[in-house]
Amino acid sequence: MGKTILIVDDSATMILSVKSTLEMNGFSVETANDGVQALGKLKSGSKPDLIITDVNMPNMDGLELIRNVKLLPGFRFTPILTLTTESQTAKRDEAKKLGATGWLVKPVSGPDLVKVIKQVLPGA
Amino acid sequence: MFFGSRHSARACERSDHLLAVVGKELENLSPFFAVMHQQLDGAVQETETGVLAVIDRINSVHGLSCDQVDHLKKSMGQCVALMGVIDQQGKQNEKMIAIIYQEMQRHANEVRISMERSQTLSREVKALQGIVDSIADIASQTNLLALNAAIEAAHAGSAGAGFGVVAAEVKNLSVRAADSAGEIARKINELSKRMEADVAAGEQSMMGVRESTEVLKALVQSISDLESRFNGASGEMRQIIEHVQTSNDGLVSQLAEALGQIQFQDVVRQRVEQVGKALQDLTEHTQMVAGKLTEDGWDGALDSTLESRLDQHIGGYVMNSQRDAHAAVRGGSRQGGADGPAIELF
Repeated sequence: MGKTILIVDDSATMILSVKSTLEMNGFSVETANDGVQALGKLKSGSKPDLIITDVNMPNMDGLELIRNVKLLPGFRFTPILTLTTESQTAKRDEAKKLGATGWLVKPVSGPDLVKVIKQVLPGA
Repeated sequence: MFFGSRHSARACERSDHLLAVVGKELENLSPFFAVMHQQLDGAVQETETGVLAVIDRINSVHGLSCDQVDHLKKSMGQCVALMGVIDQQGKQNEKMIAIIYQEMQRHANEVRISMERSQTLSREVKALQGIVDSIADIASQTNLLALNAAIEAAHAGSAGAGFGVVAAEVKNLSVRAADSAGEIARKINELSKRMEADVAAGEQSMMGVRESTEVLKALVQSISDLESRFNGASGEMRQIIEHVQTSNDGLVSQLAEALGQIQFQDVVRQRVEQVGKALQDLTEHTQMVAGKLTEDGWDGALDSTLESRLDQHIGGYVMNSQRDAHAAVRGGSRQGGADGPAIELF
């Protein structure tokens, strides 16, 4: 099995479309519907090689999730990509400041997404 | 004056009536907007259900395609294994055939040498026949001589008696020599016939060896042809599998592309949800205005205007397309910053 990727999004269609794209390309996928659920997974032993998160989500948004993940022991260097409709430059800058690896604006084509992931995860 | 006051009272009544009607209509806007809101939610739900079904189908197509490739790969694996077995078997066959061929050649050589020996021996045995004929001739001459000696001995009377005995013994010897020569001639004849039969059998055997060698050569060629045909077929199969694999990779790329485009549903959902919030806001506003209309002494002042409420939505927009749409109606420039790259690695 390939590397494991955690997808965090409150949209069922986003989760399923990204999950399908990644599984077709040999990745193992875990999912969470918001930041709280994602953090819960990480605290309960999940150890993804990469996190792809939406920004605007209920309960805990993507930026808050990045902040929390970077504080979790063992996840400081885990790459995090945002995949969002959000286009505010300020939020993009904040994500960068918090330690996000990259910013992707929806919709992103499957091949482009896989290409970015392979850049972020060499050898994937 | 009285007329003016009656007129003013009627005007007031009419104004109250109109305000009541407008108030009622404004109140009725609430369920109107609620229905619209419900319709939009339903549309979002339906697109989501539809899109999820499409993704399921895409996954099914991908699954079927992968199964096909796996199946072909498995077949190819079996084909390669079979090729290995055939190759191994072919090598063993070649070794065995070489051994058989060598053995046959050795046997043929032995038969040929044996045949040559037999032929030489047969010639030599046949040559003995002349010697035997000479012996038989000598015996015959001796016999004749003994007969003459016996006659002469008889003519000599008692003086030739001893000579007569010797002549009789010589005659006996000549008869025995003739018998022996006859026996040897018969034996030579039998031996010669047996040798001729052996030579004929050897020639037959040589012919058999030649035929077997031809059959063996044909068998080797047949096995070689079979291997070539099998190699050709497996090469074609490999090409087919490579073609299917390439097609499958193309299919995965196309499906992944389609899955990316399906993300439009999330974009549309967020825009529709924003419209839903605006409808909710509009409902609250109309209810507020309707309430004001029934207030005695309302001076026309509002806590918030539609204009201000509309502009408050700018803060809720997440996409520049939403901001652009807003700016296109309200005028002014878009807020929220310029479009960044769609993909940016920090």
